Amino acid sequence: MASPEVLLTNLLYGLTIASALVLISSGLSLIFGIVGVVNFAHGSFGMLGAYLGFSLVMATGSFWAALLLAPLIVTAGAIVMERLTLRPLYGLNPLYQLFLTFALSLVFSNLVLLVWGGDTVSIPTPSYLRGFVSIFGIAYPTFRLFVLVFSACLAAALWLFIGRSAWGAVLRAGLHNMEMVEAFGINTRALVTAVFAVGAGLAAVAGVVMGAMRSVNPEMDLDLITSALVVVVIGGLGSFRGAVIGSLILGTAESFGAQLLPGLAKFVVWIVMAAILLWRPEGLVKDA
Amino acid sequence: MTLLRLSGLRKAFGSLQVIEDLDLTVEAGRITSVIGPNGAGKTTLFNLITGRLPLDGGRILFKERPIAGLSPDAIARLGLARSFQITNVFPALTVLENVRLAAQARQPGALSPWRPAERLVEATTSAQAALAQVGLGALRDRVAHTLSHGDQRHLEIAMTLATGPELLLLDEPTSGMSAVETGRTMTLIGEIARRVTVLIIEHDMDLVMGLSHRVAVMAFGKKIAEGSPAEVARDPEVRRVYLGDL
Amino acid sequence: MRRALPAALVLLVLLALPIGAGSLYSDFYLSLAIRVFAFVILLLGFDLLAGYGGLISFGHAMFFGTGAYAAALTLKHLTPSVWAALAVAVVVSAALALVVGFLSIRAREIYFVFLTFAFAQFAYHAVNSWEWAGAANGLPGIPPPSLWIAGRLPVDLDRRAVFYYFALALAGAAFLVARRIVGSAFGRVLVGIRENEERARFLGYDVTRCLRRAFLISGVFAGVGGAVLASFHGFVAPTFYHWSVSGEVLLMALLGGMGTLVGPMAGAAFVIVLGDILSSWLAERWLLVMGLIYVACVLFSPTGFAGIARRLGALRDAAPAERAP
Repeated sequence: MASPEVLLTNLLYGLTIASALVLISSGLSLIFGIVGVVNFAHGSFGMLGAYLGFSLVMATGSFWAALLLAPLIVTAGAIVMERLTLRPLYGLNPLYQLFLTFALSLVFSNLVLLVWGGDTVSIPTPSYLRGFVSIFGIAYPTFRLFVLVFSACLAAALWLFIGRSAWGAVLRAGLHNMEMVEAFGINTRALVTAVFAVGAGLAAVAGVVMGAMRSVNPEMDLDLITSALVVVVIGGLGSFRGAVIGSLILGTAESFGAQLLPGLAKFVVWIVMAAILLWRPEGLVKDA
Repeated sequence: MTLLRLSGLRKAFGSLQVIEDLDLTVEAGRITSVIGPNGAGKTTLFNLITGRLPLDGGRILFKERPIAGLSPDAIARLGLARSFQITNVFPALTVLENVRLAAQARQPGALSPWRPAERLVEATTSAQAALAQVGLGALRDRVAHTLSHGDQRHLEIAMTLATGPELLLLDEPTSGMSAVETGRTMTLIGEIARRVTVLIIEHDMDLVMGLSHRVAVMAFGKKIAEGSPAEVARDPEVRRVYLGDL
Repeated sequence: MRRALPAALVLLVLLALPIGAGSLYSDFYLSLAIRVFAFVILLLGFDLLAGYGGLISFGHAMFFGTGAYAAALTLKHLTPSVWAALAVAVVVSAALALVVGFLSIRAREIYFVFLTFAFAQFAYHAVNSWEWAGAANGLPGIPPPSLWIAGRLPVDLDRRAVFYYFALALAGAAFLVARRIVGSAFGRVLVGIRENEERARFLGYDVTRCLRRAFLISGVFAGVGGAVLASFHGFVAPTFYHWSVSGEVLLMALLGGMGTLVGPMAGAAFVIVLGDILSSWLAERWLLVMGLIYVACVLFSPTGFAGIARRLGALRDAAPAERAP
């Protein structure tokens, strides 16, 4: 059995992955909750964020500029995409939305190949975030700790926003019953666009930090969407709380899986998912 | 002979007790009606019997066999068919295909992926017989959702009949029908009951009084009276519930 | 029999195609056609499940890939008999479909889409990491399969025209089997479940069991399709399992019109031929353009070719009378 230090390192790394996963999966889950669309291009937002972030760091030399600007650009693109392509399909058979978002992800991934080529790149991080810090007697990579704190803060801010703000109240009502919200005279189209845009922006943020923590490659969209889907399937669709719980389960499963069952790390995720689905086919959390 | 015996049936939705300690027996060859005002728990009762909802407590014996906990399809295969209060057919299929699918359900070879559907001659024959009985023979090639409401209700009765059930559960079979259609439907149920045991739930007391051999009255999840139609009609408690309802 | 004539014409053209190959046009078109036949078998399986049973799988690449790998491993390590390869592909993809079906058919609609997608990704990662399956490189150098007829007379399938007829015959047989299933008692029950699952259940149909069986049949078709393509190409790679295959399947079925068998087959032919034309014109930009075409397709005609045809028909029918608003 592993030493306490190794366990702690794994736990921290699991939490780090989990906090980034929350950023990716919450947008996917919330947009499903209000308009019933599963956006298979959601992973592309993360990948585009990562590649844009890479180019921005190269151009400006500033990681922080990239972390701010890349998500903003992706958000703007997502708004255009939502208005032009998804909006006409709301309310139709989910098949069309599924297919549309699949086609869009194909477009994005080939766009990335054309613009950035097929190479794996990594986003340079500021020098003061490299190296290790010492927490509870273990040396943990500084950047990973940054990702953990930064993502967790963003996730907490999102949670507060959904739970406390007026817009959050509208969103919660929309998750429960969109027609009711419409009946109150609230502009639901703007709400949908806003949720979509924020979700895309958060995915792009996750793309930048994950890209800096691991690497940026043209298969990244697939990895991100797969993880995000597993998270929402485990946690339950249309629920922010479910996305958090799913992320925690998946994050720790990934980090401990890599440690305890090297070579089988990728499979741990699916074993966990299959087990949870056998137990609760509709996911762990059923609320709005 | 007792075909269906319910004893001590209980069901709650959250803190709301929908069915409370309900006993009911259905004798073979009879028409039994459960009446009660809207919200009395009648449809829940059907949902419990047919396995759509799990019981909180009590026993359900069909042909002296416990069926609580079985899946709806297993209960249907035992010979217990039901109609729904809100019309529930295959809207995009033709009238004949609707009934044929029903007739096929309890035939050997019903799930054969190789035998052509048309070769299940018996299914087609009994489907046509059921359609003739409800008077929809001429509309057999129409797509179900294009039928009038009354005809769709009759189609649903034909479907339940075609499964060859021993007990037929009809959930407000005349809901939404015109007076003329209602009369026709009640006559039809009378004819069907000569071959199949029927249990009807209905909120309109007058409708089933003339037809039923035995009537049970439900209010707020409890059985408040049971007996012949005449006995029930005289019952002061029943009169109070119904007059209060009006 | 209004459809008999076009069907006969298509069959005639398909039968005659190898005659001009290598002289009138490149041999390459035979390869393209074989690819179409492999996908036709896959699409028939998909349509049985999605078009008739109403369950949209977003993971059929896993059966396609499994059939391909099973056939490839059989040809490489056991026997060059294409029948053995197909039989192993059937058995292995059926086994996989049993497991995945058991786990996924608890869910419906979008959850089912997710589950099939997730399981396919699992399989994709698995073949990418299993050394005995060649990991990321796949398995090159699969010996050309042979076709034993009546226990003697081995026919080498390495000649393109011979394999062409073999694949054509298989696709034709797959179509006849699929049509038989659609017209069977079980096929009608599937449509009933698609139309109204609850009603089917209360008529006495074990819906879960029916859908699992449909999933099994569908997976086997997909596996056979993969086996055909792998035997022809002489190599397999994890790309057989890639999610873009599952997406393509969905696209082909949607374009052709689901629940018609013929539609998805036509969709497969259309997408593959279009992809070939685009890739020769546009070099590496073709997938981008293809993606944009998909987007345009779903935005402008969400119901596929069938929808376009129906709209044209509706226009024609409505033309003499006043057009409704």
